[in-house]
Amino acid sequence: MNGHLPIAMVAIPMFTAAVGLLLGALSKDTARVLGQQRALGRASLLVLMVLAGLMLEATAGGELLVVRLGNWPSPFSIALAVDRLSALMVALTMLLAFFVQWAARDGADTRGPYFHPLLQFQVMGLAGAFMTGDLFNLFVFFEILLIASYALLLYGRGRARLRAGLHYVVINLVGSALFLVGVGVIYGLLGTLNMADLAAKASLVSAADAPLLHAGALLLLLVFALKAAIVPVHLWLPATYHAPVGPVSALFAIMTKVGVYGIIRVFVPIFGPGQGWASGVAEPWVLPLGLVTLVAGSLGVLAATDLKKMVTYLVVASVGTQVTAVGLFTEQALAAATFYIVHSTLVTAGFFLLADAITVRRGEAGGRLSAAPLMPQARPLAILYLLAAVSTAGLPPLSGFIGKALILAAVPDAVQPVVWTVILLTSFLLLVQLARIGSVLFWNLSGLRDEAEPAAPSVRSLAPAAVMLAFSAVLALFGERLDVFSRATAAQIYDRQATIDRVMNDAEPWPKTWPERSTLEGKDGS
Amino acid sequence: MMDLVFAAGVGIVAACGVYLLLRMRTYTIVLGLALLSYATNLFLFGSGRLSIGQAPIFAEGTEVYADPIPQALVLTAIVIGLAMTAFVVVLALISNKELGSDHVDAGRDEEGK
Repeated sequence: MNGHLPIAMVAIPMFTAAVGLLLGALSKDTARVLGQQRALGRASLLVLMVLAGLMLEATAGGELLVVRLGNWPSPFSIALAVDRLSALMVALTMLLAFFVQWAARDGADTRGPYFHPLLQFQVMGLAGAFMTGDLFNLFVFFEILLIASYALLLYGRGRARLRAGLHYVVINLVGSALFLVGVGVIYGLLGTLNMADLAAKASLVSAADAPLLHAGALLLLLVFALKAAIVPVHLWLPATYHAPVGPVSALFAIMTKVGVYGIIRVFVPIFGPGQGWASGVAEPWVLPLGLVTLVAGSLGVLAATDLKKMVTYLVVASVGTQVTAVGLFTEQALAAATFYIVHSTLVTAGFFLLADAITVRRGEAGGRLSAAPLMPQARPLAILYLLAAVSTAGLPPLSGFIGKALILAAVPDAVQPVVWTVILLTSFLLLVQLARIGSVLFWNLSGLRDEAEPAAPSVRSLAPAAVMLAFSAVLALFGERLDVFSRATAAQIYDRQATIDRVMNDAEPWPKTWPERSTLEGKDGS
Repeated sequence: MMDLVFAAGVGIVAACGVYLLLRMRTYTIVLGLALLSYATNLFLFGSGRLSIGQAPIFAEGTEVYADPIPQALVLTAIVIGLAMTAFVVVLALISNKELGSDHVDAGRDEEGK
């Protein structure tokens, strides 16, 4: 039963999306179709959440769920290999998607016919990307999640969305081309694309081939950096995350994590320490880039004059924090990064939903930092804002503090002065700006609310944002359990051999010896 | 010799693609993306080594064979590239219509207002 869980994570959203599309295509009654799509989407995500929970439990003991498609032996089959990190990321995706869908049911999904099927396709791509054990398959799932994200970004149309969408699509297509080139180089040298097999074979690369392999690996790093929005390829993110409707921005909170996940997956087991000429490819780059991203994101936050724009730069800053932690390339730091990824996904998504709610309620002033009439429901909004701000800035007692403390504790002595300074200083900058924006939004009042303005949405529509932000408190309360789990996750990622054995173990040694590949010279000589 | 021609061909196509991609009109960008994806596909194809007239299957005792995996990869990449190019074309047309210009930053001036 557990063996089929990974494939269900891809199949269920795919079929739900297909049925949703059919419903829309077959019926003209848009209101009824929307109702059906909503119910279907919610049912699908509920089931997926339960299954993701089961998968998390199934992998918690260190077991790997391996699905070999077509049951070909590894490495010939395209495998899904689910370890703790995969299961955790999938569970996070499903949780996030469920709340995004809840928030979207409040009206964001009425602007076009196919919001819910697109959301399902997005979930399918994300789940697949987090579970696949094959480098080329990772590319395919990247494309699935990207094309769904293009459509979601443009959802609702509008000029700003079109412009941001065009930039986002073009830059990601270039990224895909680079990804393929990187994959081609790696395949050309190692002759396999299965990640476990790559981890086993990377150490065999000769000194002469090593520079080429490094070039391929660094191309992958560039692509992951693009997805994660690491400086200097981060400039697409603020416009892209600023443009879409609120729930879509919230869903995109997990999109940058795909890039970070890719870095972890490729640069620890395959190009990590102890791999002979293949090791040490990313070490000189990831930590400095992470620190620069953190600084750039924080400066962006400081310069933002609009609430939602500020939250988009908070995403850049949080990516910087995660990449810094990953870039330390120690087991302890990877555990801290895992914890921080969970925290930042949930809190950032909640913050996006909250920013959207505040922007709507401020009427003409929107998210701009100028004096405005007192917004309706200011009190619950202010409490939520306080929660979000405390958690993002990393103040105790919420999960942001624990996440940052874990990262600080994991920093090796050699780089401690730099990393501590940057993390603590940027946290202070974030705190200053979050306090400034909060005081402008809630205390800088002028005039009275225009009676002609449409009534604000009900307080109940704040529930998804509130629950997402409340997760920060939950993560703080049960932080130890997540910490234990993320330590085990990091240990599993670093235990390369166990994964290789599990994924490759029943691969028949067939053929016993690989024939020499044909080359042009060989052909000419014959 | 064929290696050199192949490599130079991939390089030239990629360079043309990058040049077109850096223009500021959506039409040339679409052309540039198409060229870039052709270059990528050729490169992927080349990663299986160049050979002529070989079977894509090996058996015990086979000395030379044509690696089928890069061909499968290229096929997948072509399908995905085609769909993505179609998407960009439609997106470029819509933004040309709605923004009134095919410039990549069309309508940017009004952002600050």
